[in-house]
Amino acid sequence: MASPRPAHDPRQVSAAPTLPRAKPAGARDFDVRDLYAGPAAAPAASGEPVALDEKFRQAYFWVVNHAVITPYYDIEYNEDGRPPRAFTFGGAGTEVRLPTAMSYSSFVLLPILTFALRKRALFIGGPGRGKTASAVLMGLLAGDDLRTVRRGIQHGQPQMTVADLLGNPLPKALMQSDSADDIKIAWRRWISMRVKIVDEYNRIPTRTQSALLTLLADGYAEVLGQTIESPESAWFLTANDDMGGGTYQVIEALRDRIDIVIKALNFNPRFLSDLLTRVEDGVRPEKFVPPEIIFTPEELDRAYAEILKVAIPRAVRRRLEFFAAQFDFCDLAAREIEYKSKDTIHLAGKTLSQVCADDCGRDKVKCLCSQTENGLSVRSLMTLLAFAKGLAWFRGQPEVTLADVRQVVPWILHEKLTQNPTSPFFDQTGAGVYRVDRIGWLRQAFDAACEEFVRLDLDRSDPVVAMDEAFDRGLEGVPEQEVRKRLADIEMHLTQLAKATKLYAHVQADVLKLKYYHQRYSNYLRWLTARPT
Amino acid sequence: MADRPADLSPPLRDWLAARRADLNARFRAAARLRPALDPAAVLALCRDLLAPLAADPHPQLPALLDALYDLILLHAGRGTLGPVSTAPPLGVLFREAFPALRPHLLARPRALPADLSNATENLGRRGAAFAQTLPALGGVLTNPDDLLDAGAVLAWRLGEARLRGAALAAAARLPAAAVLVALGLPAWPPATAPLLVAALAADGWRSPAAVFTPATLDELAGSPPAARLDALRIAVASPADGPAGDWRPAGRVGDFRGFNGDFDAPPVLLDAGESTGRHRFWVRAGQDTYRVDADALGWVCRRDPDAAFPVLSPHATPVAPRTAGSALKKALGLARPPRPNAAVPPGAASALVGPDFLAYTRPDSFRVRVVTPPRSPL
Repeated sequence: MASPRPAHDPRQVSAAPTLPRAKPAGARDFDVRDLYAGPAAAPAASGEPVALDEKFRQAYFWVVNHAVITPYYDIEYNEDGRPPRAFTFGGAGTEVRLPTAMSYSSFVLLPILTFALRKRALFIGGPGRGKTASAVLMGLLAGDDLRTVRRGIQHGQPQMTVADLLGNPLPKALMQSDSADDIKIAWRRWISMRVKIVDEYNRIPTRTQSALLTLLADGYAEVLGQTIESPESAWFLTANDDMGGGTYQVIEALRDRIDIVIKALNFNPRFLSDLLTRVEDGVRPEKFVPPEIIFTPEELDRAYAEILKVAIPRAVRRRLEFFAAQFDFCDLAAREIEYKSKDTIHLAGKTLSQVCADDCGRDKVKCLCSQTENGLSVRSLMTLLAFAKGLAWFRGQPEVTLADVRQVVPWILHEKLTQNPTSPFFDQTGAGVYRVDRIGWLRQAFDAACEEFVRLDLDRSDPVVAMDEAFDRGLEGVPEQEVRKRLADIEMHLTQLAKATKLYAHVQADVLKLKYYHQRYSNYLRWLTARPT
Repeated sequence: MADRPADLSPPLRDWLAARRADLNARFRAAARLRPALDPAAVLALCRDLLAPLAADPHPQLPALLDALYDLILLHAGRGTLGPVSTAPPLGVLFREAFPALRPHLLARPRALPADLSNATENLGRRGAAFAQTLPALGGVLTNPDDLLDAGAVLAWRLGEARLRGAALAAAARLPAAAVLVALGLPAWPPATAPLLVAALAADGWRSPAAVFTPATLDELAGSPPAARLDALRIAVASPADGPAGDWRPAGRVGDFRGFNGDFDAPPVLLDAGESTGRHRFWVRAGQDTYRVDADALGWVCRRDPDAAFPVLSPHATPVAPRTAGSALKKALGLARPPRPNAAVPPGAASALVGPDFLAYTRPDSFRVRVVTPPRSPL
């Protein structure tokens, strides 16, 4: 049980449960715990361990309530059947919604999810917006003391060498070594920390960035042939420039390894009184991180394992598949269906905007494929799945919902999808803002894909789903007659598709999968009929 | 907390000096939440309440003082502790119990003061008795977990009937001296403790003080042979017996809202099936449904809007609910076929009839009456 603290006390932790649920009929009996519960204590302390998702929620609420002044609740959830009340303002027609379910501030929630998922986040935003401070808080949640966390921050600067970043050979060992194997390296302490912070990573020289990439991507560092492995860690990088520009161009491979982007928003001056209080009281929240919300390495491992167990139902997965299929496809990129990819265009040294200028018979305002220069990488999709699971777990849900996916999509794809600014989509009235508002753009793209999915009634009538289920049951023991029937079904469905629709992006994904199934069944049939009886 | 009076003990003075900025910041944070928080009152409370605990140094003393300081801010801000306290039980807890419980508090400095403060508040008007008894419990126990368990037994004895099951389970684990202190019988010999627990588990409608005669107590104060103890154990756990005409009122439960009760209309008993028993009833009074936990030590009535049970007619075939201690009786080979039930009094509005108890209500009364077979002290 936490010691009693006033609500404004910076060490006060929200009482569990932070996500109260409706009391079931026949609620549990009053017991000894209830005798000792009350205003002077939070229930976390009575020796009964708090569930890890609850502990993460407590950490979130502590950061929101005491550490970071962030009035932005931009990750909105609504209860089923209770749409938000909306208000539309004049000017650009801004709509403000009042969510009906617990909603969250992305600037706090996303770092916490990154911390739980051991991913790599990039804070972007102007100076003084709390990017480094938020990263420091994550370091403290991992159990390091403030001094260690601060000393572990790597401050990007133009003179930063690989040795500055990773460590130096011990001079004595260097002088006395007969071979490279004998050289001892004084590794930098931050390499072994669970939370790694690289401030202004876009000011690190290119060569040092490569060394950073090895550590960030592969989990080890190398100096003079000696290596050290890093534990599973969460990474927090900061950059003042949204586009990753800075003193040095960030190498593409390093940018590609960043899993999620977190926007540091401006300070709302209506909260100046809170700031004044901090100035007057000398409040430094990072000095008061309550022990109740500090995670041990074992807890972090357990939390990660729990997150991975959260299920993603097929219906949600299908929406994500449909959405992801939209971007890589370009009908004009190649003759063969397999190569109708934006990669083909880039490998030819061209851009989508050059190719897309030709007519392909599609509505380029409506088709999402015209809006991006590239498609989604496997890494992006894996990150999307992980964060969707993480968000559902954080919200105490047994499985991922469509709303969870919708909320994480913009932050994951922020740096992954490159806009094609010449797409006619952006020329529509009111859509020009999406050229600068990437979060809004990606969110509307996901919504548009979902609307199209519903319009096509794919939730209820998707023949490929039945074929997936049949194939997932395995080929072993499937009789020849059944295989021939399935092959005929595939061919019939391809015939229907070819007659009924153009080769849209999602259709291409379906066709390629049907072709794949056709091959697998054909090979199996060949083996079945050729084997000696 | 800005001053540092010279008469403070060195440990307290050191703590104040070391934590001055933090304590001041916490005071300001609390004052923003509760603008009525008076710095002079907090300072006086700190002198008054912290000094007795800070006489000697201890590694955990700063943590304990931290926790107590937060409690002082909380209660002073709410007006529940101070020179003009609206909750004297907390004054008893801080001024009498905490100094006596210092070793326990130092063993668990962050949680234990808060737990005891909550329990004292949760027990309402019985909180003062709870706080007054804690030092005696602390004196016979050595660890904070046992103190909390014994506190549950004490709370049950003071009338928190919802803790009956948990308290009986805790009492079975606790040292005999602690059980007897918690049950208000500190002078009884230790050998009586397990017998008392068995007796109260078998029948909650008897007072602990009425379980044994003075002669039996004298006998138990010596070293009675094991066979005698076994015989007493079987006797205390035996069901009460007697003709229906001899059954006597064991308790009156609930009351009119105007007299510190809960009901604004005469209650009627509800048929809650297996959930109900000798010590738990559901009643409807007016439009509201309540769950009532009760035994000889007291009763607790709580609104239960989720309960939707039919009224128990006094003329319907009675449900024979599971009685407390039935498992124990069965283990001891005392299970017996149901006997004829006591007659429901004429004019009853509702009735719950079991083999060894009768609960009924009347249309002109705000109480549930419980009648049980007679039982004499052993």
